[in-house]
Amino acid sequence: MNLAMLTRAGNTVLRSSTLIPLRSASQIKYINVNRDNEFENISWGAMTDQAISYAFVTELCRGAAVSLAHFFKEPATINYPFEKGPLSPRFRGEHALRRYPSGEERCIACKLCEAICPAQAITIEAEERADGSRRTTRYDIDMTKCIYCGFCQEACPVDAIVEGPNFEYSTETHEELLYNKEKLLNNGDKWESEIAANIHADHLYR
Amino acid sequence: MQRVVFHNEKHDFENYLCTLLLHKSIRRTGFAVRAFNIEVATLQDQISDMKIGEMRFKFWESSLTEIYKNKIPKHPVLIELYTATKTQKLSIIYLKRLISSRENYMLNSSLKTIEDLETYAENSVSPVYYLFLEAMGIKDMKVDHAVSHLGKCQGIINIIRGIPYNTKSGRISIPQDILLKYKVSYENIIRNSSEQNVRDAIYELASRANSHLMKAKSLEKEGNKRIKSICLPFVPLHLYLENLRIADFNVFDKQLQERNNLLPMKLLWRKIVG
Repeated sequence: MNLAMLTRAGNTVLRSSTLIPLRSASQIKYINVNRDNEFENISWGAMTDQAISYAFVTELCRGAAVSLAHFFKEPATINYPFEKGPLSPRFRGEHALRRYPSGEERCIACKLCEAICPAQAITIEAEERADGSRRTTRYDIDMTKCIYCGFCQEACPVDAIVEGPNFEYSTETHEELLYNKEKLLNNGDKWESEIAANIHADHLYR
Repeated sequence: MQRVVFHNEKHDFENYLCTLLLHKSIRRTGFAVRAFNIEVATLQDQISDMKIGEMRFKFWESSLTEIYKNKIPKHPVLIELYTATKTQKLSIIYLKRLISSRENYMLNSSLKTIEDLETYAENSVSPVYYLFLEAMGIKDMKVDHAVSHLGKCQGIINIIRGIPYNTKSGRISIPQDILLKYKVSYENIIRNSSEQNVRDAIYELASRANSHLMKAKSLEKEGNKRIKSICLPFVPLHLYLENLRIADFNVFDKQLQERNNLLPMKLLWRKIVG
């Protein structure tokens, strides 16, 4: 039954409330979509197969086999505090201030990180030392403001401030998360080998 | 000093070898200039935001002016550069040109014509050689001309070599007029295709580089004998072009990205025999 037929029936637009004349409705053919045939005209061979699988509970055995296979497989989960998942060398975790191998601080107090920080979490105060070099006297990061965008490490021309691979530094009080320069330098000393390895893994060979 | 040399070795191995074989009087200066160039060249790959890049370029620019005002900066590369400027004459114009060319390249993201590519090469690589010449105290038009062609060749080859790396970060560095001429689409490049049209485009770039190389070689022979050590990059450049030809101008060939272990020997041979 097509649309042309319905328009001829008197209505220009077909709506759910449109009355379809009984004559055209009786011409609609219904199709059986059930798979009755497969079950009604079953062959003897297929019936024997079914009977055997019922008798030997094959479905149950197969299910049990899957469970057994998973028992021997390596588990998908890890035992967290003792095992840790893999981290990308670009992972951005806790901040650290690095030193040169000679022990000298890398930071030259250019304040680029402070300027770029979108959360304004970094505060720097600097003054000139007796030898004429500019160093920070204060380098604070408010870890509760930080959004871990990594802009500070991108902006740093000397690779001094980095976001290291450490992500386990939760504390009980807010104050402990207001990092000062000493804490950041300690972090740097503690994580130096990992940070250096990550920077090396990520550097471009050209 | 040691740190700067190591920096060179890590980021720019071929030029590190060439710098090692520079004339003794300018070797230290050579490392300083090379390290500075590496700093400004790798900068654009380390940033995710244009503003950060601009800030860092500004940092280099202002520390350069500080060096020329006799202030010692605290960056290892800049300290080396400071000693270099104190012992030999280095023009600030060339150093500034290194910065500004990279900054423009970062901001403009793509090169319009092959001439743009040549100017970029001239401004980002040749100043290094001009600085070497200045440090050696050579003032000769012909020699200047030779190293200018050398710089252009190296700049173009750097772009060709960088194609596989740059496509990974979604950056197409082939000039657009070349892409149009050979009907190469961005997708061809991003999918690392080695179809005929892509190879033709690479061939055009490579032949441009080759003609610069030939010109530089002929000019070098006529010119001053003392610039032989400065012109050592001929060897790796020639090798790369040769390998590219063997790979049938398919830049994505893995063979092209391998280090040539015989390179130190070849450089030494060229330095001794010429």
